[in-house]
Amino acid sequence: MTKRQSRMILVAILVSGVSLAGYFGLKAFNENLLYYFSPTDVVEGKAPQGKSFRLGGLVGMNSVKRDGIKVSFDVTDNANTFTIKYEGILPDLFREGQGIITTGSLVNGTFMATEVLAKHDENYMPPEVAESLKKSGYQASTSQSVEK
Amino acid sequence: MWKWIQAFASPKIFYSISAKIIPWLLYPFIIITLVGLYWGLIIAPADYQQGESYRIMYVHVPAAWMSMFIYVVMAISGGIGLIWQIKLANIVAKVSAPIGASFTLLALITGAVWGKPMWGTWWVWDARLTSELILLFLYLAYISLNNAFDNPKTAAKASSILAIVGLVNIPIIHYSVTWWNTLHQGASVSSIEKITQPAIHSDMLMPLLLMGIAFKLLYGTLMLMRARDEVLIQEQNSGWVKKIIIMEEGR
Amino acid sequence: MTLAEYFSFLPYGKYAFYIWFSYLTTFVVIAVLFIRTKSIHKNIIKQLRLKYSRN
Repeated sequence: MTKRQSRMILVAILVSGVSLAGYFGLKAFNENLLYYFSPTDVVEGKAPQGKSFRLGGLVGMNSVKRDGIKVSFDVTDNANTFTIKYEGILPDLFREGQGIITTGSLVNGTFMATEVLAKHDENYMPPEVAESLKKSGYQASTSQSVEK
Repeated sequence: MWKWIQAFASPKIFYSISAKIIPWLLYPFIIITLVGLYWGLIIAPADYQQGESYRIMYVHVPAAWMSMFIYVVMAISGGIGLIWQIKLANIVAKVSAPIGASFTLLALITGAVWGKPMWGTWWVWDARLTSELILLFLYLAYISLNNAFDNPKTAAKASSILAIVGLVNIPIIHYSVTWWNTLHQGASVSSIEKITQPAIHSDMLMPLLLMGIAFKLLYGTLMLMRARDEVLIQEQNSGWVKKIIIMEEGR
Repeated sequence: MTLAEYFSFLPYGKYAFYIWFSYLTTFVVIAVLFIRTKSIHKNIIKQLRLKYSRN
């Protein structure tokens, strides 16, 4: 292989790398610029109609009902609420009050989910500290990071 | 001051001074890493939400910091080389790229391994993860562009321009979690309001900071070691390099 | 039994696989960086020695 040929291959790698980056960039900045919609966004009609999208919010308190691997629960942003129906494995962080992001579509007002991902916040502390914070009336900030 | 900078920027003086600096970076790196690992893996308590799994943070976050830090160093020294034609600045930029790429890859891998048990997925196309992946592509593009030219001067010129253009991605990575809805959580350490009320409990924060410092020392060590070899290559026609090589043979 | 469960005998229980995999990967990346740096150094010395011995 001559020097020029190897140079050409390298430039080709460069060009394809940059175009790949551009492609993924566009993908992220257009379609996924907002990774998820809040229940209020959906009520206001901002979410795509008739196709699958991501819904993010907090799992409603006392709303989780399990039936084998079928599970139903509410997702809320404290203004609007949707009921989610899902079949499959839930992430370890899934619990009532936790921020989650779910993929699926609305069928007659119920969100039929194909995937449920948990979102955690940027706070890290030992369980004892979390417990004493809770007692003193401090709310873990999961809610604010999802609401905004 | 300026004279001192010029003197250090002379490849010959750099070669002898850097040999003395390297141990002062390498040994603190080893010690601080051991302390940081012991603190992070054994002393630090489990997290109230994520349990033990959050310990991945002690390698993931320093690796991610490194990926951006090295890129900024690379772009700035590339810019200095471009403007003032300082050979040493171009060398620093060139040898930094593979180190930075390695840590970007490490941040992506450890992030995936953390995401799986916590989020429930290895990967999502949210703004944070995507912009970090673009950073990896920028490093790879820089490396292949730099290798595409035989003349080190031309190579430095072309790749430095790329590095400077790509600099725009750095604030995007940092602010991606604030500007857009992402699956990735917000910043725990760097934001201003976090100074009064830290998002990470102090027992968990200390090892993170230690590992952050240790990784920077590691970068310093590797970068100087590689820069010295690059100096030998680029200065191979000058007498002092010949002398060093022949002396080394005598040993 | 999944891979993660298989490694649950290690410290950190059900997260053992993920934690140790991360730390192992970190160690490997750093080790490779050092080994690569050393081999670049050796090659350059060899190459230059050859060049100077020719003239």
